[in-house]
Amino acid sequence: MTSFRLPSKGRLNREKLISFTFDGKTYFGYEGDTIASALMANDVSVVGRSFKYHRPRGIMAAGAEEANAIAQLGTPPFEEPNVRMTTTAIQEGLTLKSVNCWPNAKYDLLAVTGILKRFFVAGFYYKVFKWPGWKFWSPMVRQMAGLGTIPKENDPSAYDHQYKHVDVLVVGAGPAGIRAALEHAKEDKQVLLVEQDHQIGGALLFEDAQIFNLSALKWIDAQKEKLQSHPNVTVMTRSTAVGYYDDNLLAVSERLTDHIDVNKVADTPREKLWHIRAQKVVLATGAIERPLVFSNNDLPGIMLASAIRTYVNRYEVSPGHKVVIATNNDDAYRTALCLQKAGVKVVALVDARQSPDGYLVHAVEDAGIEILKGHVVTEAKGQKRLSSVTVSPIDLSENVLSTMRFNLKCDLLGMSGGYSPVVHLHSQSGGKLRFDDCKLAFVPSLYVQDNECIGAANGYFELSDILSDVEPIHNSPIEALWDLPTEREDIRHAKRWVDFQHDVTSSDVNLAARENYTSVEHFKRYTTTGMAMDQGKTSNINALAILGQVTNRDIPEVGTTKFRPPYTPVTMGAFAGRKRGKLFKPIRYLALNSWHEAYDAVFDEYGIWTRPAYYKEDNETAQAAIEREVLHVRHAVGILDYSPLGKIDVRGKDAAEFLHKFYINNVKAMKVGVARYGLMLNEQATVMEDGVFSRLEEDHFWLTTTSGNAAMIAGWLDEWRQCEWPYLDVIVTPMTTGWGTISIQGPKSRKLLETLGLDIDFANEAFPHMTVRCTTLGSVEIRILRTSFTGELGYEVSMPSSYMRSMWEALLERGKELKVEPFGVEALLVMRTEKGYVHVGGDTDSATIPHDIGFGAMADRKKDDFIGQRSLTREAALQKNREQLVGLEVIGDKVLPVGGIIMANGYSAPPAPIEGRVTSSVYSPTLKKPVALGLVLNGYERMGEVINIYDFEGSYEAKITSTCFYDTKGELVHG
Amino acid sequence: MHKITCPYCGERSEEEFKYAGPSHLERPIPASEVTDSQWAEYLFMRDNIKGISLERWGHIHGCSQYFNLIRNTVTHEIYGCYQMGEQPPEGWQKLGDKK
Ligand SMILES: [Zn+2]
Repeated sequence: MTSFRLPSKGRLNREKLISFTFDGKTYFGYEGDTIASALMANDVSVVGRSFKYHRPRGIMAAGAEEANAIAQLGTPPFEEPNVRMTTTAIQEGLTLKSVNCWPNAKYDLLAVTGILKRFFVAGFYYKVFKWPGWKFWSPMVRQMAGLGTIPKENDPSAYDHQYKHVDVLVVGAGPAGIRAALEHAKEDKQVLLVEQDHQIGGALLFEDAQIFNLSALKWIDAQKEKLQSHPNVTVMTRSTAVGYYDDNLLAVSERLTDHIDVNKVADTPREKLWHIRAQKVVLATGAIERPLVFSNNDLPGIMLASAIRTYVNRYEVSPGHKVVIATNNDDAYRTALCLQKAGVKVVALVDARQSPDGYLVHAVEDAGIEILKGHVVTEAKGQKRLSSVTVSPIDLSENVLSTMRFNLKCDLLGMSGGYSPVVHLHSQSGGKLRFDDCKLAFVPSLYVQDNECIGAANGYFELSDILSDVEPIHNSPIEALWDLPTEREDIRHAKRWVDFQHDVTSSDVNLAARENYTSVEHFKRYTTTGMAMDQGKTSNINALAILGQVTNRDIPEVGTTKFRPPYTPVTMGAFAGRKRGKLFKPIRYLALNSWHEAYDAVFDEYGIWTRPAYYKEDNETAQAAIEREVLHVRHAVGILDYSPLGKIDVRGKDAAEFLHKFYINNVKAMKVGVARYGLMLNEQATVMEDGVFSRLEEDHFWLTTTSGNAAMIAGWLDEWRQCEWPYLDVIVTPMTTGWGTISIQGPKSRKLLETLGLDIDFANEAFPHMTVRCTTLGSVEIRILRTSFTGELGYEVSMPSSYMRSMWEALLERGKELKVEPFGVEALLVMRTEKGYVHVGGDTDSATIPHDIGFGAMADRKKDDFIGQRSLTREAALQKNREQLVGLEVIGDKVLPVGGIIMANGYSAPPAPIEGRVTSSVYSPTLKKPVALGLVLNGYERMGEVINIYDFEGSYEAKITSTCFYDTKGELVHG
Repeated sequence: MHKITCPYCGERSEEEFKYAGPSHLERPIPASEVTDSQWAEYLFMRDNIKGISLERWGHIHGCSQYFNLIRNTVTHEIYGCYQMGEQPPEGWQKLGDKK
């Protein structure tokens, strides 16, 4: 037995025994335990396996910096991968699984594959897996490597986002943070104090300290009361500030229910991601102790010295029986004192410094603990658990390691390589760092936002630096001990771990340097140091310092990599918030949605709108319904809820001149009452939009656009109006959602409209194709556009959305004798394909110019400036070999696949040069055969040619034709 | 995430705005007199400014108005804005200098 439970001092609730399982085995702990402390009390040493080599790993820390002790938490559908055991409390019935090993952490069969060692050197991603290719290796490597497993089931818990504005945001509720929060509270500021732990106090939750006449815990209680007495202070625990963005925006991840019951849907969100804007930000994020670098320093039983104090004092568990402390600074002496006070045997304190003489050094000496000054631990020994350490004298000033060595038996080693301020958020804020040669740490230097770092986060590690009520003590200075001198054979060939989570050793750092990966950002990626969920909290500075040593640079010259959010991992649920399932994006329903539902519409999503795809009669198939609707429109009359049609009003004295700059059409020449089919280009001359627009009055135009482009085109028009032609007198009003449209199509559509009794003469000569009429019915404004996207006689009737239902029902009622029927979007798409009407975005791509879809002459005719005009004469636009939109008359009876690849002439099977693709394809119920459209290289000059097409399903043959398959003379629309 | 002060609405989050390219970009016309290289310059060539940049922004999820913003691409500082069609205030190049 190594680690064991200490007698109660009241920190844990010994009345409340809690059972949980780890890798299938049941353990007990007390209320107040973390998973780590409870496992420790159960004498579990190996809690995980390392990332690459599957070495057994134990708990090394007591906080967010833990690199080894991570687990898969909870049961499906609530499970969460990569939870740090050191920051997660146990709860009744909790199930945990170690990650990165099989079948469990203690007996990991993958570790037997020692052959891996050869592979996973620095840069292994780029070296080893080159032959026969990453595709060959990746399934194997992914099986072996990787932390945790992705939950397969949908987490039913709720997650949320919330916004908050405060005067002062204080991050970290240690002594420095608490003090700052109270100071700002007294100035009547709205203060928010966030703390990642479930209680405030920071290091005082485990340090033996005397603050004036109060013990650390009593002091914390007193501060709690003080904070509560200020109504302008809010304290949020279990809340981690994970990201710092521009203008003092911070992301804070708050865990609300996991500590109550992980495996249950709670009444409140499981987690919240807060977006907090603060006038001022105070970063009191503390500091993280650094490991020492020596051989086998990853053995279970080797921990950060401060973590041992945390376990002994806060969690009432001793991580070992016989302890050696290794250090290069005074702070670790506290661990020796703490252990002795708890009755745990301290074998020796190994200090690399020749003659430390600080207050704590004398205190340890006085306590009768042996101090080996000028010594270092060179190697840890043991199987799955530390059993002894090898110690040698060292001369730090000359960097010489003695050949003399001896062993110390121990089952726990506390190590301390000094402290690194937690500067992640400061760095993310844009702030700069400076390397402090005395403190041997990067500390904040330049601030670019309104923020400040205080306390340990600013390099002030002693409590007396922070609280004036604490008696200062004399400390002997820290001395650099980044890596062991490597003259000795046993050191040179041993693995000394730098990054525990990503399995990077000192020799990997050396190798990377030898291969010239000396820029710190290159180095990081090449060796993978500081990656994964741990983000190098314990490893970064050691790695940089060693890189500096082997490249003969000092640490400031090496620099640090950019710190990136998040500070600790944030769950995908928290990021998603409410944007999942039905709320993933807004769903837009038509004003007539309930009518469509009642009429057995089958809905589908078309862009942002949910629209009837078709209406189902009895048991007919989708195909049968669509065919029925098409034939009904072609032979009688159908009505379509066409409301998503983009509708934009453009008014003003200069409206014509304004629109003249957008359409390739001659807008200025249009007479009142006339409608045109128009194309809009972008400045690259790509066809961006097509639609029918009409001139209602001299100074009033009515634009209809593709429904998917409705908002974009309105924005496009207005941006140009404001930024390029602000002198034009024109107003752009988007009205897509305010107005509904009913498309009436079919030979009897005129007769149907006439039943409404409007004061409009619908006679062909009075109201010809491509004209518009406005009227009122009662007080309701109605605009009727005679146009067709089906190839039949047709009208689009628009009115304010609230009158849609009356109009729709009136048409159905009065058109009974005409046998009017509603039809859905699918029938419309079939009819427009039969007719060869282009669908911009479907039949065109980002290279399509008007000339490629049959509108070249119109564009060329226009001499006045319009957007995209100049690009029509670029070399690429003028060249002959362009993809042009043509009809594809299918040979055989198979419907062509949309996206099917058109092969070059002479090829009947892939591989073949690609000369285009099928863009639209349907079975035509009117023609009783499949028809299609496609973009084909040089298509216009290849009429009549038979081409071969393929996709994953098979190959097809088609003949190139004109795009129009139905009523090729275009007589019906004029009927 | 910037806070941007819309000259019409006041201080708002960046999410409400759209960046609409560099300010004072001259659109060359008429097409018949514009050379390929002039057109390419207008269409594709952009300065990758390190320092103070004059930019068009639109408050598209607010008042829908466009304006010019003076922004430091290094420090992300925003110095102010001016209306469409206006020239930047005198001495804008020196706004980033330490006081
Ligand atoms: Zn605004």
